[in-house]
Amino acid sequence: MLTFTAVSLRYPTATIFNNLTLNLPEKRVVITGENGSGKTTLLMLAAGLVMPDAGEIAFNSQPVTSQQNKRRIGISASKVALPTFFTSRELLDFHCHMHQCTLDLTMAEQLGFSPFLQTRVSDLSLGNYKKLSLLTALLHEPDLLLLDEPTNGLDDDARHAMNAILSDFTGQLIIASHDTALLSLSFDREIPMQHIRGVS
Amino acid sequence: MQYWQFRLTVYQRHLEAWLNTIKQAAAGVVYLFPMAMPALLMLPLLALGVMADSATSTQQYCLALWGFLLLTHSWVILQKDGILATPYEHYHNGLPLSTAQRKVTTALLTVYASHVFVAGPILLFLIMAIGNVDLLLTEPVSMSLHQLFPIAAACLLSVQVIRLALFSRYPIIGLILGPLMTLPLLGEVAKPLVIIVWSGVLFAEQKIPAFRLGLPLLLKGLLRFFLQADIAQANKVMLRLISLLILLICAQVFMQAVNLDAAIAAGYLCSFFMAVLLGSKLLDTLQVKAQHQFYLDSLPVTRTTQSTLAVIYSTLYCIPLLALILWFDSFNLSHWVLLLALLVVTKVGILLSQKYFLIFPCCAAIVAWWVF
Repeated sequence: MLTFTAVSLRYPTATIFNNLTLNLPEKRVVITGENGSGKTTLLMLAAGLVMPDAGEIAFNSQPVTSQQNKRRIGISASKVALPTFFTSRELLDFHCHMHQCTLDLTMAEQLGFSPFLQTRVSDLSLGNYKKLSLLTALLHEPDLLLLDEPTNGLDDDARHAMNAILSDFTGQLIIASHDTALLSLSFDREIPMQHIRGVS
Repeated sequence: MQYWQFRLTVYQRHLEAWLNTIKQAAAGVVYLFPMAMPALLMLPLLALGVMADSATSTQQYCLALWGFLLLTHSWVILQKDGILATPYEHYHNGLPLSTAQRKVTTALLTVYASHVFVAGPILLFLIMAIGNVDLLLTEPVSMSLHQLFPIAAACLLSVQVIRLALFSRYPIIGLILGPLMTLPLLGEVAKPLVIIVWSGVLFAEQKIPAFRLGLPLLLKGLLRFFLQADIAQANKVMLRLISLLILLICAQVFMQAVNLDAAIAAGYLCSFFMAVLLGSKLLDTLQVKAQHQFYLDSLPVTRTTQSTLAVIYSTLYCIPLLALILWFDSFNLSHWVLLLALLVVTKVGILLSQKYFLIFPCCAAIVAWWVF
């Protein structure tokens, strides 16, 4: 279960969250909202990549910043820039080495990414970069999967493949998206960002 | 706007952009630039002076020529995209111009961009030839050749190197490995033979098909991450290597030409510059880390471990460069002690304050000078 307890985050020009307390026990959650409403920041906080000014964020009662939880969380977000100097295959090898997992290319095959494994990350198209980002989030079989606008840039086939992969995913799934029409998944809870910002 | 003006504008815009972005290219080298700028401008002129003197020993001549060619090549390669208008390649190719017109404009722009390195030796050659026209006419041809050959050879080689910088891959054998390997033999061979072989190697190297060396499998995890980042940005690596080579060549030429006391003092000064140059590699590595901080933080590795591995990587990176300094054999034991101590101080300075790290080796150097 992902929990935010009295979380505050302020940027010099705006307060993003003020004393936010939110429990997400549901398996599949979608966070909706307009561009710039704070969805990505919420995911970044949930992944422990952005530190709140105050408050605590925990997954299964442990801080999301703990090393143990790093292995249990997977994130795909445009703000998490992948190293462009690797080829895709090199990055996946590196990622698996760091997470001590075995590289399984089945998902790459499903997403139609196999022809691009030898392509340098900097040379990937937007859609293929998105697929690679999804692969890095999924490869180490996380218990909590955080996806930011996962359908952006994906073609129909890749979107179907992604929906199939996510349907089989057994951990907690939290998706942030401004457009849920392209997601054929059923969600246990849909939370508008407006509501979250209102709560905080 | 005329075609020439268009090419000139493209070149100037490129130069502006390059000057703005060089700060991100190799921070350590850039921090040294303000201090080294007057010396940098003087270097080609000093090298020309050494090369033009027919009494210069072969070793001194070859070292000066090597430094001059390294500077020339680096100078042109940094401006290459501006000279060739590469960012506007497709638009440029679509312009209704003859091949001759394009080539002449490129040649003129190259001379404009690399004036010191092209016009310098040519002008010196002409001054020497015209100024001594009486002697040239009265003395035997062999005597004239002896006087003018060194600077004429420098002119031809610099033109060859500029051409390579613009249109060919990096002449790693001709400009780096070859001269480095033959360094101990340079004093033993006649100047004309050196020039002919050098020119031949520069030409022949381009005929060898390009190949890629495999990465050592020994490095895993974050060390490999940093290594791959360096390989992808080979220009930064080359810039640091070339800067070190030029420093070493300057040290060698200068220390051989002055008395022992001055040579020892010059050695200390070079130790300082080399320590900062090598130590500042850590800045680049930390910059790569900062660029990918979100991704690295998503991995199960603490920030402390990330920084520790950055320090280890930048130290491993320095080992071949330290071996290069050893190969030149210019330094005595006290120079080495100072170099290694300042290297450590520079790294510590970077870890404490990336912005003002230079204060640390400067203060350490002043203390060392005051104490010893």
